[in-house]
Parts: sequence; structure tokens; C-alpha cells
Amino acid sequence: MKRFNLHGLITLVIAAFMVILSGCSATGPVYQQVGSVPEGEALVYIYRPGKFMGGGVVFDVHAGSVADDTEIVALRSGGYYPYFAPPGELQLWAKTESKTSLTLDLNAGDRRYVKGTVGVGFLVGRPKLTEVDEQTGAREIKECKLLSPAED
Amino acid sequence: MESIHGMRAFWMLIILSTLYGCSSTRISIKPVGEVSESNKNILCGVIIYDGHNSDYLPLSLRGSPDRRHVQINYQYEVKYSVEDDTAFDLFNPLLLMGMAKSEDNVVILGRLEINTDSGFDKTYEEVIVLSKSKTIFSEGETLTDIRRKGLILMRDKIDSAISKDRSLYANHGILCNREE
Repeated sequence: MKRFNLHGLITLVIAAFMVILSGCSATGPVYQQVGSVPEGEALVYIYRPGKFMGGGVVFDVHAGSVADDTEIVALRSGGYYPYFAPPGELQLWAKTESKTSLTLDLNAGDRRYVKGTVGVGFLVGRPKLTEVDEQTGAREIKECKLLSPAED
Repeated sequence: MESIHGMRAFWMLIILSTLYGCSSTRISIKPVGEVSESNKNILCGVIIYDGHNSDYLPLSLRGSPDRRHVQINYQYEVKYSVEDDTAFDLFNPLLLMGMAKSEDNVVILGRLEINTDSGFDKTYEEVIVLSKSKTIFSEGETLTDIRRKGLILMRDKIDSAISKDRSLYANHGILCNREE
């Protein structure tokens, strides 16, 4: 009897854990390719493949430097967001207990893919942003769901 | 007595491992570039540059609309390579000792082409790899910072290569005049 109760308790804890984690995942429509990029702009897909490790960590992705910062999206596990930007240098960054940042050289009409992941941290998972090639990005983003833009 | 020696050795190992962790975030540059600030504005011509930041354009180059017969084309490409942490890292006690968990690389390819209507053609190509290892205590510099360092380094390497070929450009009349 005791053994049954212990198993039941473990199952309950795992189920609760899964429910909590599923609340952290993206829930929007499944990925659809953006038809056309507006003239004079570039398209950057920011996405994060759904993974168990770090799945509970949600981090905000920002564009620009500290002086002219724009919050783009809260990047959840399994989510993506298409971001349009003018040609030029674009810095994307995110932060939890450490900061990650990368800079892209954008030209008009570009379609670029920036992948977010979560790495091991001291107290909390650390965000990582990196650019991937179009082939990899187009393959991995198919599993992702659209995220809402960050509110101003 | 032996056990005391054993304990000392153990604690020394712990301290050394921890100190190693303090210094494991690094940037290594392969190959090391030569910085040359003194070789500014050597070559004059029409500059074709797709980059958006003039800080990364070699200092040896100067745009001169009067020299349409000299075309100078500078391009660079930046590639990022970031290693993902694994689930094993969550349970790896060595990370607490400062062991590196993963490595990021920024690869920069630079290319400068100098052509003239008379048939002169010279190309410089350079590759720079910048790496950083990360520990659980420090992520080190961001990819943005590393990219900037790499592009400045690329600029200086190209400048250095141009300065070595100064006599070649003098023979083909590509050097800037004093008035330019």
C-alpha cells in the first residue's frame, strides 16, 4: 500500500511539473513562412526550438543598444517571431543572470534566422542567441508557434 | 600522517581547479594580426563597400571620385558558431570547479580587391577565428563585442598587408598624391 502511494505521489509531482512547464511553451499558430519582405527592409526570424532543458525559462529579446533599446518578444520554448528591420547593423540581445548579444549586417530583402537556446547557469538558465544558416533555420522553425510581440 | 598529506593534496586540487575556472574565459586569436595605425590613406580610388559601419573599412583606403579608373572593393563576412550545453552539464560537478562547459567561435572572412582599368589586379584574403570558452561562473564577452574586435583586427591586418606592398602601388600609380 505504501509503495502504491509513493508511486502515485511521484506521478502526481511529475504531472504537475509537466503542466507547469507546458504553461511556459508557445501556444500561437504553427509556423507559416512570411510571404514577402516589405521593400527596403530585412526579415529576421527569431525562434527557439522546444526543448525540455531550460523549457521553463522565458527571456525577452531586445533590439538595439542600451541607448535605443526596443523589446521585441518574450521568447518561449517552441516559439518564433518574425521581426522586420531596416538595413544596417542590428544588435539583438537577451539577459537573465548573464547577457547574450550578437550583431547582424542586414541588407534589404534579407531573410535571416536567429536561434535562441538556454544554457546551464549558476542560479537560472542563461539565454543564448546565435545566427544559423537558412537551411537549418527553415528546418527547425517548422515546429515552432507564433509568439505575440512585446507590449510597448 | 599520510591521510593529512592526502587531505592537503585534495584541497590544493580544489583550489587550483577553482582558480583555473577564474581564468578559463578567454579570447584566442588565430592568427595574430599586426596593427598598423601609421599607414593611413595610402590608396586612392572608388571604394565599393557593402558594410554599414565605416569603422571596419581599412584605414589605408581613401575614396577619390577623380580616380574612377581605380576600383577598390572591400567585403567581409561574419559567421557565428555557438555550442549548446547538454543535459549532462546539469549534473556535472566539475563545472563547479570552473571547468569550461562549451565554446563559442566567431569566424571573420575579409576580402579586398584592387583593380584598375589598365589591368592591374590585386586581392587580399584573410581569415580570423576568435574563440571564447564559457564556465558556469562567466559567459565572457558577448558575440557582439567579439565581432567588433575581430572586424577591427581584420581591418588592421589588411592595412598591414597593403603597407608591405607600397612599392607595388607606387609603380602602378595607385598611391594617393599629397594633395588628395
